[in-house]
Amino acid sequence: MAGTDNNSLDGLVGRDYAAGFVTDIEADTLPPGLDEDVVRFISARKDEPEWLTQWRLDAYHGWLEMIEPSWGQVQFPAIDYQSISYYSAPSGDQPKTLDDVDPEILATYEKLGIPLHEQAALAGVAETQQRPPVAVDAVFDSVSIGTTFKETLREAGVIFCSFTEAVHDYPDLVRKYLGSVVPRGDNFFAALNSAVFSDGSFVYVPENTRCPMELSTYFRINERNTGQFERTLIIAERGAYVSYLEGCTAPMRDENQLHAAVVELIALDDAEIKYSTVQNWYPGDEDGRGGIYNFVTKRGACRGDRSKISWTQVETGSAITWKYPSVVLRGDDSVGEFYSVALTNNHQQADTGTKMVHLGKNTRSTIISKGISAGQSSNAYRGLVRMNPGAEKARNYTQCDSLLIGEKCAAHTFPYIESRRPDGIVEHEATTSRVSDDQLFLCRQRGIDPEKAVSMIVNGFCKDVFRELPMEFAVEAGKLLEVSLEGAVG
Amino acid sequence: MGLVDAASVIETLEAFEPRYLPWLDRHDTLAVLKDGALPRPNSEAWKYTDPVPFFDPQYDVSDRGDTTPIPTTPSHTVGFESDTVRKLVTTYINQAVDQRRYPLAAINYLKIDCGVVIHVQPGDKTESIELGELDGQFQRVLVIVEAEARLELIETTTGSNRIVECFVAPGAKLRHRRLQPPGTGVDYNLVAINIAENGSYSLSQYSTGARLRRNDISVNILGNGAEAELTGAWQLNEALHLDNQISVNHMFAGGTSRQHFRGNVDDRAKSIFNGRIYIAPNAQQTNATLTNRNLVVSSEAEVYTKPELEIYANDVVCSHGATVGQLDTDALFYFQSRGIGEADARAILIRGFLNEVVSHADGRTLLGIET
Repeated sequence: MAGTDNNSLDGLVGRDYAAGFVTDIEADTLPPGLDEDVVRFISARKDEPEWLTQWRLDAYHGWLEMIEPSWGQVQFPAIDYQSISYYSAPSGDQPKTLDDVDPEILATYEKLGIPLHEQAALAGVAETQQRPPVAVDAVFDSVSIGTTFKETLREAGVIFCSFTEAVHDYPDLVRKYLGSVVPRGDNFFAALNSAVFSDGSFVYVPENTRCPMELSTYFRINERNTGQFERTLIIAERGAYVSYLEGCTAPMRDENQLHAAVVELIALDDAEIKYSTVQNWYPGDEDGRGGIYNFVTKRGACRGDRSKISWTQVETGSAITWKYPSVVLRGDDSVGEFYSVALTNNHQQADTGTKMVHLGKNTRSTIISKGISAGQSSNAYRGLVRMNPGAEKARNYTQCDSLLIGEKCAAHTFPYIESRRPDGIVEHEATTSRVSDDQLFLCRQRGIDPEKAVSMIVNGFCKDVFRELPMEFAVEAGKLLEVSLEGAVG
Repeated sequence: MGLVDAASVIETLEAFEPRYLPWLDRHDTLAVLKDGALPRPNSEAWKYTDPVPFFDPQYDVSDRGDTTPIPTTPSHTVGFESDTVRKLVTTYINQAVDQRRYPLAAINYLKIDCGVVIHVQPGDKTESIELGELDGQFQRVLVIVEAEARLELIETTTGSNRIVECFVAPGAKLRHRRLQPPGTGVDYNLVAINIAENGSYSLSQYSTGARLRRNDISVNILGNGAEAELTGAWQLNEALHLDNQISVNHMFAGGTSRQHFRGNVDDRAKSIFNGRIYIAPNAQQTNATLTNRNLVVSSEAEVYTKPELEIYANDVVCSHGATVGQLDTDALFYFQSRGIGEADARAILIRGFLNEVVSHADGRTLLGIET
């Protein structure tokens, strides 16, 4: 690998993780520990109906019997689930409107570049056409502190609110769909989440409605020693369309923090859900101290014929990532997509990929996964493509490429292909290589410094995935990659 | 999948009194098995094949074909008993086998009841040896190809627990052809290879299935310029079962490996393929590829494939690909439009598909794809 100018590198290291600050506010935080009382406390705090409390308790009892999965290509000291606080919310009453929110918290989102004022965002539209409004649900530790553009959305019939509100205002929808894609006993972390989930976002798009704007949730962990356990539920009725974005950050701390979320998507006939994630949880420092354990279960169900669910993810953060956004293709002619860029640097570890389960006729899935490992990190793609006996003429194409930057990094690929259809077609291809000296030489010859050159090459490598992101996110993702790769060259 | 009763397996093995090669030190092997090497519930290595029949004390092997006498040539030695080979056996046995990873090989070592040593002297380039069925249930074949020597080994195996362990010395070449006719029982095979600097090993494996048949292949690249080329073809029908688990381990820089496997799966047959490329830290300048292509021609057939990469070095070029598909309907139509019936057209296309990796006449005969 070509050498770099160390002075210029040193100058850049300082802005490594821009979102790593702490917001100094009063918070009501449960003491660490997990038992039935904690589950009941969270449920009571949210004034939940009895059935949901019971649902949580069932999940909790199931979780007690479960064994933490160990098959991932990741290594970390055992997590002490009794040392985590399962609920933390800013002190005082739950704000009714954004004006009631603690200015410190608003300043936090301002600093992170998340527009929480509808006026500001609208003004942005007036000035340039580049920034269409995005409705935001802001989740701070265990609670949602506000959701923007609710009125505009309500006019279109779209429900976008915090999970807690949804439980009160739309109990039938929640009860019908909660746990229908990811059952509460699905896996260890999903069961834990089902027991202690505190907030999250709820989206319902009615029949034949195209959601008038992008919806987005921004997750922020702030308190020390807490875990974040949010739950997202998105339902797209017949013929509906919604594009949903998710972003996340956390302060820089020396200890690890757990984030175990569950996301469920349901697409009925002719519906389409596009779910994009830019995951930038604190990755830990260059010696591998601190960072978020991101153990997330994301699954979409294409229940209706001709429905479509598309996952796009850019994963640059977290000390450890363990997530497999999946699609169950039940409806005939339904489509599942997974586009992923996972970048690991320093001591980060990622074991991520997808599952495409083909049940319906003529179902199609595409998987494009790009893994980049730098420093001493480890990056694994783990995927499953299953053609069940009913999946007549199902089709899958998978491409997963890995790029290696640095002598001590690791890249792995574990694709499972299970076919029980004579007329199904499954294709999988994967390559692993490093940034080629020829490409670097070509760039340097044209006066591009090595760091920029690598950044350009990496951006080109990820092009197929970035193309799938909404524009604003694509720009952010490109910048994130640059920041995350700083110091990796040389 | 069934659950292997580890306690009872250990108990049987502890009670077992070896009559054959009593001087082998079996102590460590038993310790490995006791230390959790036996398959656990949900074991990744036994995800699609039931391990229980393989570990059954009443291990039920296929009806073996006639035992063939082992050919004798000056440069190799037969049988494990003679004093001359005793030194070779104690030096080499289990050096290429990871007993923790392959517990059935450990059981083979404990219960070994027949074996062959093939020792090709340095520089000897004339050898070609045919090895048929041996007279025993736990068979062990030890192949040592000394520096700059060459050997062609043609092996036929139907039913047993057979471990073939090969050592390819610097600059040596081993061409290994394996034929696996259909079996009726539970067959286990492990081919474990150590390749030294500039050594070269090639495998051409032609398989059909058995009630349960498991082929483990483990190749260790241990020197600069070492090369492994593994090809295989299988033709499965009825309710036959074939599970190929391959691991090519690049433990040293500058090695090359190429793997290409193709299978045609018909009726209610079940085909499992797991190909792993492992590149150790510092095994730089490695070039490794793996391809597995499967044809499924029946609605009840099952294909499971997993090409894996596990890479801990950065200056490498690795790729793998896997496909599962069916015959091209356009090609079938093309044949039929020219008066070739559907059945014939299918046979021709399947032959063409498999032929890519079949380069021996006996392989074609076994797979039923003679031209």
